[in-house]
Amino acid sequence: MKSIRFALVAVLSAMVMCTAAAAQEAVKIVNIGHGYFSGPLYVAVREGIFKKHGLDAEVITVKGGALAFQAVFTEEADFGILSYEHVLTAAAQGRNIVSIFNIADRPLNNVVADNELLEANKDKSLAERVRALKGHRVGTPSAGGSGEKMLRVLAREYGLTLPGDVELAYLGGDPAAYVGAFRGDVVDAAMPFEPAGVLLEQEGLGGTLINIMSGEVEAFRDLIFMTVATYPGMLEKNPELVKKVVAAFLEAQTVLLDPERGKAIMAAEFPKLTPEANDRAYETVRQIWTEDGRMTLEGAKKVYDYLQPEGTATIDYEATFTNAYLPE
Amino acid sequence: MTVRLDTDQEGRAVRSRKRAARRSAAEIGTPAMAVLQVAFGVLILVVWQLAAGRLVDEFMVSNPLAVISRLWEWIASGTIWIHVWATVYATLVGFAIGAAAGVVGGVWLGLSPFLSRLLNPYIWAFNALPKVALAPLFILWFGLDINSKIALAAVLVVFLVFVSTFSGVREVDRDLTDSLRLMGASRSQILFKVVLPSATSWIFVGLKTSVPYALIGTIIGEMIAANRGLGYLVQLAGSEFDTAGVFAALVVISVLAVIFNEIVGSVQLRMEGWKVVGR
Repeated sequence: MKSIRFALVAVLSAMVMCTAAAAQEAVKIVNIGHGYFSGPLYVAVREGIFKKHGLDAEVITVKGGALAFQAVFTEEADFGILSYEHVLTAAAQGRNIVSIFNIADRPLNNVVADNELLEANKDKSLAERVRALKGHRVGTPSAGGSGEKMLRVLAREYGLTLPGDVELAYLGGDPAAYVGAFRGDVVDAAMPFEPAGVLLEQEGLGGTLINIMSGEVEAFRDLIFMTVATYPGMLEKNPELVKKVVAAFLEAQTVLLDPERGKAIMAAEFPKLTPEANDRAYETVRQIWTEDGRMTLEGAKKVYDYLQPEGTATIDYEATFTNAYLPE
Repeated sequence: MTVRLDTDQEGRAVRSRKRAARRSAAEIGTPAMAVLQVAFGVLILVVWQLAAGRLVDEFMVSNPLAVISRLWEWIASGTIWIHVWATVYATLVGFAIGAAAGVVGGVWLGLSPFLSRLLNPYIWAFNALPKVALAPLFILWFGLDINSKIALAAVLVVFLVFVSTFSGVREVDRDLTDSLRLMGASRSQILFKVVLPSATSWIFVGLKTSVPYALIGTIIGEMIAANRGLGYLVQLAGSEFDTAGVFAALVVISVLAVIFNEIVGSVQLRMEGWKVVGR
């Protein structure tokens, strides 16, 4: 009798566990560092939005977009938050992954400058402010990275040569490096990932010279920029999972864009930012978060125009992104 | 003449007093040395606390009180232990694998002149590679999970242990092994009764040297791709502009390094109890 009871309990427990497991589908998502731009990911985790959509999300942080791409491409991770620039660069080399949700439609960088440069170019036109960089040292995250490429676009547009008129210094992605560089007069301007610029402003070291994130530069507006991506095999083998992930991100993005809720959630995610710094960071980065995650062919081509990725393969833009999993 | 003699005697007396002072400083007892070590550490902390915000921007170096406060926050919330365990586990497993491979490889090549000559350039070429640059490759090969961290720790350990083991095996007294061979000892008897015991000191030098490298390999792997571990904490704190958090994580890493080193030292003492240290 006892053994029958034990067997019954074991079977019932197994059924409960299976049901629980079936209700929550495991999904591995890589994130690039702990960037402020990945706001919807933090919202989805903190507000239980993944769970609500039946997802048991494991988030892994990787250093750099290249590693995030690699993790998704090798199917080590199911989804990744990574720049569309990496998607295009890989496509130019014949390696495909697919963006399924557009988190941000503008770059993550502004051009920030020290107080002297800022003061000298207050109220000047965009062209004049770009030309004001001539003869100065500008910090960007990495050699050949998107920051440098965007700077080249601006330089070309307004008659500067790079290098030559502008000297570049590579400072990496961490905001602290930029604070140090400005303090030590290593650079006069920079294109850091925000909210590094906010931090520089808070430290009284400088401010925004060219507001790319507000859409000031036409070439960097309405892009496919920071996306949720996956490998093509995932779209084939598990479209329902893709739909759930997209739905979760869409809901999280909506919550994030609500200033009352989004600001508080980001403050909780970045507890070491002062309330003022978080407010400024939120207002700055909120400009680039999309309303609905949609991507366009024009946006894809605009990224190609400034990125000019190396590679011999012909890029089939339609294969690099899809809105099919977004609600009509 | 008398003046010169007096000056010489004075000089000798001063030198003698200095030698006596050096001897007594060197002979200072362990408890007294421990007190001095603690006092030195406290002095560094005081200088750091005073310098932060005055001589150096606190954003760059934080200060000891903020670091202690962050550490306490982690300990009180219990969050630190998940990260400590992840790092300790990967470090220990990586160290074990690297050490085993290093000892086996070092003994094998140490006993085989032909193989050691054949593989010598390749081993040194690979040893010269900055192995931490292999980290992204290891992530590709072993994945995002703990395996890549274990692999990175192991590869940093294996060469250090290999080199010292190899040297230790080559240093074994040939007369001793020849004598045993003449007495009819088998290869395994020579290996276990002479070669390995003789090489133990060398092996432990390699092990002690490689302990921090096992930790470094794990930490680097965690900084590159992880969702737990002390390296992950360092990265996370850095990305949140939390300099105190960075230093707090580094303090924990340093403490772990000291503990591991002491453990290896204790094991060495037990295993080398038979050795005559000095006469």
